[in-house]
Amino acid sequence: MGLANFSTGLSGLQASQRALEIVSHNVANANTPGYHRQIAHLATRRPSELQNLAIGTGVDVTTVRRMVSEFLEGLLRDGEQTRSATGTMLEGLRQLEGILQPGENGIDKLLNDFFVAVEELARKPEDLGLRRILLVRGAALTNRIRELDGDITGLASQLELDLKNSIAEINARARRIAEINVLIQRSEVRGIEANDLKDQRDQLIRELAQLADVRVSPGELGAKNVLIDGGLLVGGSEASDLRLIRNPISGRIEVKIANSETVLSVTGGRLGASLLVYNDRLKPFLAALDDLARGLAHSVDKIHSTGLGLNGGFDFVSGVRAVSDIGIPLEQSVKDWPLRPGRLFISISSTTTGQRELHSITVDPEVDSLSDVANAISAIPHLQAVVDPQLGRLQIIAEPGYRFDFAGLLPTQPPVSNMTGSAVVGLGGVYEGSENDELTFTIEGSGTVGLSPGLRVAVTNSTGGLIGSFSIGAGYEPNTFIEVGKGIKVKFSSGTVNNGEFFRTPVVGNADEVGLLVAAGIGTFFDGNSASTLDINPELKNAPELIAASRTGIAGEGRNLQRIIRIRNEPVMDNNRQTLEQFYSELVGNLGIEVRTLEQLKNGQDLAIERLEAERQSISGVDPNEELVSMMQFQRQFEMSAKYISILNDVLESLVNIL
Amino acid sequence: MDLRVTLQTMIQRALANTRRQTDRLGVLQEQAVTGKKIEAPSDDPPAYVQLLGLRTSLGQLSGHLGNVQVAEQTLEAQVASLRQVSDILSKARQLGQEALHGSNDKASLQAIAMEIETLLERMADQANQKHLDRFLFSGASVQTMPFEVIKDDHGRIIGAKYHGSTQEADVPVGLLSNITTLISGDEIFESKERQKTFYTGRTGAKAGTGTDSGTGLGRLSVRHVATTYALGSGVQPGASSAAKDSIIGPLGAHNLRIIDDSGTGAFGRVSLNGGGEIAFTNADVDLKVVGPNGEVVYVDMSAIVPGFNGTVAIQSDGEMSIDDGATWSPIAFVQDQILADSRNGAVTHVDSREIRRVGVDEIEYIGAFDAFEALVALRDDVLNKRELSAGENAQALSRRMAELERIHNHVLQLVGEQSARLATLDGLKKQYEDKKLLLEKAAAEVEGADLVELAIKLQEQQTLLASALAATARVLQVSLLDFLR
Repeated sequence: MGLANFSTGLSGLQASQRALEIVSHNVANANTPGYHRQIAHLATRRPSELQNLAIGTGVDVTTVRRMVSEFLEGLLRDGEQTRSATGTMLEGLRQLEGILQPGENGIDKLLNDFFVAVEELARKPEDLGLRRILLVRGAALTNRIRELDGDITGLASQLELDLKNSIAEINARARRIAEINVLIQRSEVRGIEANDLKDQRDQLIRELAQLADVRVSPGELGAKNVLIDGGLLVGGSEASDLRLIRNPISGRIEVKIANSETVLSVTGGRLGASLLVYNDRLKPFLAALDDLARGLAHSVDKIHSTGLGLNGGFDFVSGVRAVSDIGIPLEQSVKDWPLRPGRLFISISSTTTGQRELHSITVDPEVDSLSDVANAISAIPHLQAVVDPQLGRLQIIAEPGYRFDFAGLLPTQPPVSNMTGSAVVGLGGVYEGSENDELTFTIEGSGTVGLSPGLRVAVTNSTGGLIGSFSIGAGYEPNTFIEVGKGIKVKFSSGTVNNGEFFRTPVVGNADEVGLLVAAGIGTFFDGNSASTLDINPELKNAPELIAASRTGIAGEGRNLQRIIRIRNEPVMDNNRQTLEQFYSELVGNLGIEVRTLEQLKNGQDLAIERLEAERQSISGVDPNEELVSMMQFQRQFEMSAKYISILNDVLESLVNIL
Repeated sequence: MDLRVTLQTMIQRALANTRRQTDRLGVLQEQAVTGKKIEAPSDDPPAYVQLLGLRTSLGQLSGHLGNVQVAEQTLEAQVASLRQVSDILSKARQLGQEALHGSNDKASLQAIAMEIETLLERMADQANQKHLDRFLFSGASVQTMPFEVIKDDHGRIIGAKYHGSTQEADVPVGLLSNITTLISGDEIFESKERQKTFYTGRTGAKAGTGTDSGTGLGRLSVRHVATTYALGSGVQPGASSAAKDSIIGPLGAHNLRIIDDSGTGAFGRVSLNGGGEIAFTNADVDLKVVGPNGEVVYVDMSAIVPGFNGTVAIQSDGEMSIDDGATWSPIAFVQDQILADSRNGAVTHVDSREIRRVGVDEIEYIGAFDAFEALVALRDDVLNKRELSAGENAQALSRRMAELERIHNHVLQLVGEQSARLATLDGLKKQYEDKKLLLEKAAAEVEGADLVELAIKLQEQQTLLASALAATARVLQVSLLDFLR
């Protein structure tokens, strides 16, 4: 027994003090994010050998162990990364869903209101009040589409800001990790466990994982490297910056690292999810909204531009849509509207005599420019067309005393140069077919209309098919219309006709085979070429009488509206596969499905992470009760060691007194 | 391995679970407040898409249904007006019968004519009826007054001019079906059963073989142009011949018989068509010779061939007019000669072979009277405005009655057609209403929340949340610290 025995007691005192400190550290960090419970590792000192005895010399705190399961931490990191991605995506898409505002102000409701207003006007096409209502409904629809486009664009900008923030956060964390790596390396070199630094780094990595799909690999001397799609974000003590680049061609936002030009594929975490929402959800949604706007405008305008308002034809009309260049072929200068080679029928009517002529121009979009079209229109008697090179717009003007339209109505008198008899031919009615055709009227037999027996007129279509043969001889009342079919009527005045003589007339169901009127915005209901520019044609705004409700210009006739009503059930969207409403409903439905799926996914992920977190807590968490027990345990150890020293002191004092 | 459960674990678990419970409670509460289980597409995407489809169909259906109702109202108004027209025509036929078979004193005929005039006024009123600010009988030209009533200087109606459209107006009552609501007035008030044109008069004109296009009553005027005599007798047209001769006919249709009693051409006798002989001298340069039927020629007898005894064939050229003398056509003496009315372009085919004297023939374009023309003609014939003989007038009245009957039948037929359309609309309306009800029910099922189920779930959720909170509070209360000391 010697003085060394004091040191045994001292070691007890010191060890319990250290252990108490660790307990207090644990308790203090019980709520610190990323903190791992620490445990003091006690070990007996090497015993002193005395005679044949090995006598213990006390205790040492050999290490302070961090209670951590790297496997679990990895799982948790991955889980949080996917949950964060799901959450971000859900957040973005929920906002999009919120913007759509289904219900009273939804596109579906406004589309319905628009078509119902068309139908209501068809009841009383001459009613200016109903015409105004249609304009109001049309404006509500276009305003909503524009608003929606603006809101989604706003959401995209907000997301872009989020992306920038995410990048900044990632870069800041990467730099911090690199710094901590250095500190850890310094500790480890000296053989000191850098527990708290590792906790800090792990927490940073966890946060990083919530931002992007990072992979972690061990580096030298306790350092950790962080990789993002193979790009080295943190390599030991070095950190590289991520940067955002907008692809000038596709408009997509891409992520690149340091000076590398390789586009990183970031799919996880907030960054990955934001990129996905921005590039693959919002942008396509905006494109789909453009499609919807164009689909609506094209299908309505196509019909509207070939109808007639309450005032009949135009004396002047100015296109509201522009081409990019009036001198290059239309196919290159018109991007938003489909064009096909074909004819454009233009009718000229005299306001004094009421005589109506039907002309046509042929347009090949691959060859003809807007200027060429204007020249072709100017070649028609009494018409003048000009294009404004700055604005890229077409204007058509009629000579005083004439009006023009694109309704494709029959000429009042067909060209009858082949007819040598004295009977005068008249045409009437409105062609009800949808395809353009040419009818030939051939006289069978010679004689006097309304008198000669067996006198007939045979009507054939352009393919030579017989439509019908009608008596114009004995029994026919001269100058009364004969119904030929498909709405066409013909009459002959009293007079002579000769066998085999004929005349032809085009019958027009689609006055604009080219699609030019829509592309140039002539006589259209809408203006604009995209969701952000769609509006009511400004010419109509204060002139509801210009709504082309009819095909004849007669006030109470609403056949053109009936054609517009039918659009509702026609597959005008998605390569003629869906109606407008189906297209929108699929768009919204798909969004709904995705939000719903993400919600379910996130619920699952939440549960999985809760379980992992519980397991992590089970290993690394601080339990106050447990710490309390440890504290009491080490308190007692301290007391016992102190008592031992006191006793040893008493013993030694007794010994000294003996001497 | 048993899990170490720390305070953190307990707090996190409590938080996560109460959050979940609150979320569910929130969803249920919103459903209970709005009564809808689908607010956003993500609430139930397939149901949402289904709902949009149902709403589209409902929107279309309500549009069609509104149109059906408007079409129904319009047709009802039109049918009501047509019934009035039918009543007017019935009354007119009754008055015609009275005129034909009743006492024929002038005063009562005047009274009948007055009543017909009132009927004409009523007819004009009905023909220009409006419904919902649209003319009912103007076809698609709903803002144009269809019938302009034309009156004579005494304020009596003499006809009506149609200004409406021949184009019908229709209303879409389905995606592909339209229903004609406003038919052209031209079609309604006009009878289109043209028959052979009837001539009354003494010119000898008859209906030609071709189809006429005149309507109502007309007049064929025949006037004399020039008379020429076959050579050999020396007789010449008198000074008044061109203006006053009343005979018309090709060479030989009329004959002059001359007997030169003097043998020198100084005096003799002359007769027309075998009529009474008149003495003449060679001083007669404008001698009026009257035939057996009152026909007249003026002759110049100053150059009679001495000793001429015999018959001289006469050719008398004339002209015809169908537009009261506005335009004249030479008489060609053919089976079918076409005359055009310069006022409206209508043509009349005349068999001019038998025209023998000047005069004015009354023409009736049988089966081509419009309702106004028929009533005007009836009124005028009741008063015998054309001054026909009693027998002719009675026949004319009979023809007016037949005309009215035809028009009446036509109107009744239209009433039938429009009523049939009404019935179709009624069927369509019922069909749409049923369909709408079904769709609304389907939409309510898809969209609406089941309130009973909701109440139970809400209660359940509330209880769950309360117990979760209570359990958490209880567990967190327990600490070792409470048991130490």
